[in-house]
Order: sequence, then structure tokens, then C-alpha cells
Amino acid sequence: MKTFKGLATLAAVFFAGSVYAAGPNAQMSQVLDGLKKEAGAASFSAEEGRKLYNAKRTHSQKKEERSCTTCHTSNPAASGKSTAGKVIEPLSPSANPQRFTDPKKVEKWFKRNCEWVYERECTPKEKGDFITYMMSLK
Amino acid sequence: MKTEKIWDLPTRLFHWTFAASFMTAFAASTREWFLDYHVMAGALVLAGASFRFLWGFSGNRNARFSGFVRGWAEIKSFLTGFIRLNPAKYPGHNPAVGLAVIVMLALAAVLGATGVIVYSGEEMRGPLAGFFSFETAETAGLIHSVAAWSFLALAGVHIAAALLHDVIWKEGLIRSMLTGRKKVESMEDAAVAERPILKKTAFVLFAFVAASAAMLVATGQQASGHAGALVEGNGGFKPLEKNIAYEEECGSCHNAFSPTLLPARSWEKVMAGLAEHFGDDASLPDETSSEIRAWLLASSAERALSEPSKKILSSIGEGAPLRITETAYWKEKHVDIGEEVYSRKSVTSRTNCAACHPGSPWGSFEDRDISVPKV
Ligand code: HEC
Ligand code: HEC
Ligand code: HEC
Repeated sequence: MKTFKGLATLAAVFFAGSVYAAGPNAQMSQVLDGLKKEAGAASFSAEEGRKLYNAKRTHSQKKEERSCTTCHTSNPAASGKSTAGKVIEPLSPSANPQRFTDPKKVEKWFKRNCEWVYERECTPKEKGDFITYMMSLK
Repeated sequence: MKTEKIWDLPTRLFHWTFAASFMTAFAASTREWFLDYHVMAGALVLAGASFRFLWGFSGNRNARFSGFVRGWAEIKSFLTGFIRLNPAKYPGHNPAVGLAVIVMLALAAVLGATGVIVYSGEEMRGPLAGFFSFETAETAGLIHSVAAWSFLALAGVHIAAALLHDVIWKEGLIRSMLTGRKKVESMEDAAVAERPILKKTAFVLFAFVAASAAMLVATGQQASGHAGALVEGNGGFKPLEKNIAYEEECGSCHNAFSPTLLPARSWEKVMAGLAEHFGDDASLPDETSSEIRAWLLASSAERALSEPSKKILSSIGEGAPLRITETAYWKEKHVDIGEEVYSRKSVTSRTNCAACHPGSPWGSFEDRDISVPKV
């Protein structure tokens, strides 16, 4: 009986693992759940995330048009380029499985890049939508 | 007048190899990335000079020092005759050339010795790698270049004089260094047949050829593999340690610059101003930023044992630049590189050091490691 329970748990873990492999990892789902609570939203919208990604805005001081696409290009599965000219690996997890696996890193770049483009931090709703959009890309 | 053989084969071979290897070494000193060739040619100059020194005691009459080294009086009277365009005739080297041979051999010895010191103290390579301090190496470098220019000047005078002898007095000097034969007054002046090459000297010759070949192979072998910068660590020097946080945080927008290329005061300024970092916000959580700061300060230019570090330090004086690319030393090293090169797809920016310096993560900007991408 004990062995059976053990095997069943193992199988369950494997099953859960294979489902999660396509979606966010455990840490990131926690992040998404946290963002949902903060935003008071029931779910996130990939479509809103897509809009955020492509939106253009003129910087109040620099007077230049800025967007997430400035560095990440209009195709999230393509390599982009930083302001210093370094190649940025694709943002979409479909092209770069490392993306959206490390909550600290994601938070750090949201803070930096939202400031750079929108001159403010992104709201929990915007972040959730953005991650959902990236995860939905095939 | 008879045409007789006056120069033995080893002397002639020496003459042209010595000339060719010096000119190669000189030409290869103009670009840092030719350094390996410079060193190989320099090794040949030194091997040639050592051989000639021994040959000066054991060669044939016209090759022996005793055959052409004269006192000041004779040199002076020869030169006076030369200036009056009526030089005394000598079957072998005239007294002025005799002096030039001695000076050139001495200069070659100085060049060899100072070269080894520069190679040891600045490049951390060669038989005495790292034995001499950077400061000693810099002084040696100065002597090295004064000696090289003197050698070049002397060679220039020598060539001009030889041309005069051939054009005006039709002595056939230059050809004699190729064929060994020259017009002489009497049979007595010809000296080659007099002393057949001894077994002993043949052995000396062979030993030198073998030794210089070994030296070439040795310098060639050193030319592979990365030699990274060494930084001061408890009581000695150790290879530059990597720092994961630095590579992760400071290597995402641009390549992770080598900490060995700016002084500690510059890194303090960079780390204090991350919120306003070249128009970007590069701020970090306190703990990460203090870890990176500590590592940068421990590996800064003052503490690094590498040629570019020392040269950057002396090129900025008291300043604390925020950019490596702003230092006079960096600019001077990259003056030949056009904007087109930086905009190539695999370079993208002048700050992408690693594109052309694959050794930069080890703090190595060695010339043999430089490869500028073609596209
Ligand atoms: C000025 C250039 C630039 C702009 C504009 C930019 N990013 Fe980025 N972004 C970067 C760089 C550089 C990285 C880090 C690249 C790396 O780790 O390889 C990054 C990484 C990220 C990451 C981290 C992903 C992960 O898990 O590794 C997220 C999230 C992100 N960006 C979101 C955004 C959003 C949202 C916008 C628009 C509001 C945006 N970026 C605009 C430069 C930019
Ligand atoms: C958000 C992006 C970003 C991050 C993160 C970042 N930098 Fe920079 N850095 C830049 C930009 C942009 C430049 C200017 C590049 C140019 O002119 O090509 C720059 C330039 C530099 C330069 C001068 C390069 C030169 O021209 O010689 C140094 C030094 C430097 N950064 C150090 C750091 C350090 C140390 C860190 C980590 C604490 C860091 N950077 C993190 C964006 C960034
Ligand atoms: C487009 C290619 C390219 C880029 C990018 C580049 N370099 Fe260089 N660098 C060179 C070349 C070529 C030389 C050799 C110049 C010479 O000696 O004539 C050189 C020389 C140097 C030297 C001197 C090496 C020595 O021992 O003499 C240093 C140090 C150096 N580079 C540092 C850097 C740093 C730091 C960066 C980034 C901020 C950088 N380089 C970016 C091509 C490049």
C-alpha cells in the first residue's frame, strides 16, 4: 500500500510537471497569482498584453518615440538590441525557454523598462497581461 | 686586379639574414597584433648576432674581428679619405664598417636584452615572464626603441655608403656579399682559401641554427591559449576571478567590461550613479550592488598586472573617467577602426569589446587574441 501511494505521488508529480512545462513554472504561477490579487482581476488578457507590448509613447524629456519594441523588436520571438547595442535574446518563451522563469529578473526588468518607456512603473494588471501574452505565443 | 673569393658562406648568410630579420622585426613593431612576428624576428636578430660574435673569432680572415677591427686613428684617416671621395681600399671590411659591425652587434645585444625585459614585464610572456616589474619594462622599452632607431639609422648610413662604393668607385661591394667574390689587388688579399671551416665552428653554426629554431617554436607555442590578466590577491597575484552577479547584471545591456581597465575611483563613480547610467536606469538592490562594487574594486586597474591596465592608468592621470572608451589610451589603440566596423552585424557597437577581443572575459586584450569580425 505504501509503495503504491509513493508511486501515485510520483506519477502525479510527473503529470503536473509535464502540464506546467508548457505554462509558467511554479514560481511564476505564484507571481501571477500574486499579481491577480494585487490587481483585483479574475484573469489576465493576452490581447491587452499584446497592446502594451506594441504601444508607442513619446518620452516627455527625450522627445523620442519609445516602446517595448524599441529594444525587443515587433516580433517577440526575434532577437533585439539594447541601447548600448548588445544583442538581446528573444523575449518570447517559445523562442527562449529561459524567459519568465526567474521572478526576480522579470520584476527587475519590468521596473527598468516600464520606467524607460512609460516613465512610471507598470501596474500589476499590465504586468500580468504582458506575461500572459508572452506565454500564449507559440 | 683579380676577382677572388673574399667572403665565406656563413658570413654572407649571416649578413642577409641579419638584415632581413631586423627589418622584419622593425616593421612588425608598428602594430600590436604583429607582436608575435616581432618577437620571432627579434629572436633571429639575436641568434644572428650571437653567431656572428663567435664567428668573429673562428671564421676566415675577413670574417674575424682581428681582420677588420682597427684603432681610432685608422678609422679617422679612412673617414677623411672617404669624405674627400678617395677612400683607401680594403679587401674585406674597411675600418668604418668594422666599427659599424661592432656597434650593430652591441645594439643587437641591447635590443635582445631589453626586448626580453619588455616582454616579461609588459606582456607577461617570454623566458622571464612576469619577472620584471612594469616600471622596469617601461624603462627597458624606452632603451629598446632608442636602440632600434639607432640601429636603423646606422643601417641607413651603411647602405648609403655601400651604394657610394658601388656607384662611384665600382667596387662591386654589394654583389660580393652575394657571391663572395670581389676584385682585389693581389692574391694575398683573398682570404677564404686560407682557413677551411673547422669542425668546431661548423658545430657552433649548427648549434645556433638549432637554438634559434627552438626559440621560434617556443614563441610560437606561447602564442596559443588565453593569458588572462592577473590581479593582486592575498600576498601574490592570481587570475581574474569571474563574478556571476557582475556578468548577469552588468552584462545584460552591454558586454561585461573588464574591471581591469578602469581605476577604483571610476568604478566607485559608476556604481554610485547607476540610477542615471548613460541615460538608462541600471539601479540594483543594495546587496547585489555592494557585492559587484567590492569585486570591481578588488580587480580594478591599480591591482591588475596587465599592460593595458597600466597604460590606461597613466593615460588618465588623476582623472576618473566613466568610460573606458573615453581614455586617451583606448582612443589611440582604436584610432584606425572606422564607424563602419563598429556597425557590422556581429559587432554592433564600440562597447562590444568581446566581439573583437574574445579574451576580454579573462581580462586579456592580447594582440594574438584580437579578431575583428568581417561582417
Ligand atoms: C531600452 C531597451 C529596452 C526596452 C525599451 C525594453 N526592454 Fe525589456 N529588456 C531589455 C534588456 C536589455 C533585457 C535583459 C536581456 C537579457 O537578460 O538578455 C530585457 C528584459 C526584459 C524582461 C525580462 C524577461 C526575462 O525573464 O528574462 C522583461 C519582462 C522585459 N524586458 C519587459 C519589457 C517591457 C514590458 C518593455 C516595454 C514596457 C520592455 N521590456 C522594453 C531592454 C529593453
Ligand atoms: C539598463 C541597461 C544597462 C545596465 C543594466 C548597465 N549598463 Fe552600463 N551602459 C549602458 C549604456 C546604454 C551605456 C552607454 C553605451 C554606449 O555608449 O554605447 C553604458 C556604458 C557603460 C560603461 C562605459 C562604457 C565605455 O564606453 O567605455 C561602463 C563602464 C558601464 N556601462 C558599466 C556598467 C556596470 C558596472 C553595470 C552594472 C552595475 C552596468 N554598466 C549596467 C546601459 C546599462
Ligand atoms: C571592432 C573591433 C574592436 C572593438 C569593438 C574593440 N576593440 Fe580593442 N582593439 C581592436 C584592435 C584591432 C586592436 C589593436 C589595435 C592595434 O594594435 O593596432 C585593439 C586594441 C585594444 C587594446 C590594446 C591591446 C594591447 O595590448 O595593445 C585594448 C586594451 C583594447 N583594445 C580594449 C578594448 C575594449 C575595452 C573595448 C570595449 C570597450 C574594445 N577594445 C573594443 C579592436 C576592437
